[in-house]
Amino acid sequence: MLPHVFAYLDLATGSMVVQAAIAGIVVVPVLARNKIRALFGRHKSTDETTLTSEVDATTDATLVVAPVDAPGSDRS
Amino acid sequence: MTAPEGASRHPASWRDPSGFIFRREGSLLRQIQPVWLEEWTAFRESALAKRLVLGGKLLPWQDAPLSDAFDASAAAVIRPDVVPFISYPYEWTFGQLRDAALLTLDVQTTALGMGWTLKDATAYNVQFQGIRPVLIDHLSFQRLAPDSAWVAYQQFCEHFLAPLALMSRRDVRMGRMLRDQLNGIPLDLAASLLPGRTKLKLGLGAHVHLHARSQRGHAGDARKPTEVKISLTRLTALVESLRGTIKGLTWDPAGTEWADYADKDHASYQGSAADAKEAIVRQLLTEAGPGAGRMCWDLGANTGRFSRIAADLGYRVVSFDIDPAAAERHYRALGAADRTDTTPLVMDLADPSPGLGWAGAERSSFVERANADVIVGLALVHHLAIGRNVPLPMVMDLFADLAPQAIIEWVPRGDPMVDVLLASREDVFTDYTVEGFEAAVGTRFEVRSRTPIEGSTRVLYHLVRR
Repeated sequence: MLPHVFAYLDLATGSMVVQAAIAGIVVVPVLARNKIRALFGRHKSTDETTLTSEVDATTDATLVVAPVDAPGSDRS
Repeated sequence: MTAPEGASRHPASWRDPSGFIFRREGSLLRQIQPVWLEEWTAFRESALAKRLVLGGKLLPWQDAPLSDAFDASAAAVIRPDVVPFISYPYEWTFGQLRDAALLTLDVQTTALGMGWTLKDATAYNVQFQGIRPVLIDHLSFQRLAPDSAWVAYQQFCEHFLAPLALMSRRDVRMGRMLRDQLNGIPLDLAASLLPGRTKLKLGLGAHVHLHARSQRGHAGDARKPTEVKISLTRLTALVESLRGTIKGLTWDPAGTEWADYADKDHASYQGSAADAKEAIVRQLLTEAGPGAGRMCWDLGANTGRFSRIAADLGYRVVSFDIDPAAAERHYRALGAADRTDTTPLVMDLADPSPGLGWAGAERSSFVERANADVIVGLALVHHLAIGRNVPLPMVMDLFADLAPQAIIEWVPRGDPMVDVLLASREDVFTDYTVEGFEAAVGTRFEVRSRTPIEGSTRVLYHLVRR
């Protein structure tokens, strides 16, 4: 159960439900993209975070999280 | 609520019961309440906190003694570093809001990877130090419960994604909607305003359109939201998807009224007049200085040509311009030059940010935030006096409310840029003369110096508030 103070935001059910649905949809392409990037050696930096998805029954893939961008970077 | 002597609670810090910001004898402090002490203690000692602070993503802080607390209910007190100027999302350029969004997602990604999560994701938790966004809310971090959803997902979409989508896909001026929607842009409103084709985009289709539809579908749903479970992998993918969507939102800052104005105005000078003006501004700012540790506001800064002079002299600079494209170009130029001494913002000086939110005090007005030692107003007065019909004494009243010193350019009749303003309208500005200008100046300022700009009819005034 979430602590009492956690709920100071309105935990709108619609947002929670759609979040679960979207997360379920996007996890496949995100994992695939990150797998490909990892394969080609991209996104290797000291700021890289690697998560082993021991909690996800869907896949046992390694999820490589993109390195944190420098603030102000990537302006197009 | 009665405040202890010499202390006052920050008018915007009351939503989160885990703590609040207050001011005591000029210092800004944060009080942590007992209900959040365990979580705070774990966070302050965590590798995540160290990593975020060292990475420049979280505002550094120092512990303060309990004797500094606002009241006896305190469990801990901290003293965050000072942010030189507080700005709001409705004053940011497109790029600033986008970078603030990416910072929030970066922090959430890092937090998830280390067993933490952001419990809120409001754009007001981000401030700019120069052009670098930094998270300022130290109580936003909570240890991640297994399979928990991101409670701030909706807030992130409303504060960042919806306005950025509208600015990118519809009109950049829609960023100003945030001034009326302090809790972010409702997703059903954003969905109705976005072009229909955005429904077909994976990111916007899911995080805005489908999200809005789900909100409608679940209105009145009594199911406890905490029953929704999402694995860490899926949650991280959700954040990655948001990042990809935000990165896909772009805007080309061109084609607006002012985007190329600086070039035109500069071109209106003959020969060496442009160089002469820069030299005089540099001289006057030096006389108004020293710059180091002091604040300069550049009003009508356009793309920042003269802001840079102030910054070079050591001033911290906040540059305001009415035009989102000019401010955006300035922001990008600063980023390209890796300069962090200046913060460009979008501001209409004839309709500046008012006090907003609860009791009209939650978000301070433009004038309430005045902390400049000197303001610079170059090629500005004629736009306010003729372009916006503001009487000259009222222009001077505003300037005097902003800073004790002002460097102001007088652009007389006959100047090409004044002629342009008068070309399509009746000339009802009988007081727009140098005599009228100096009379208005005299109501609030003493003239320290008048310097004609060689090669033009313009004059630069150095004014000191009475």
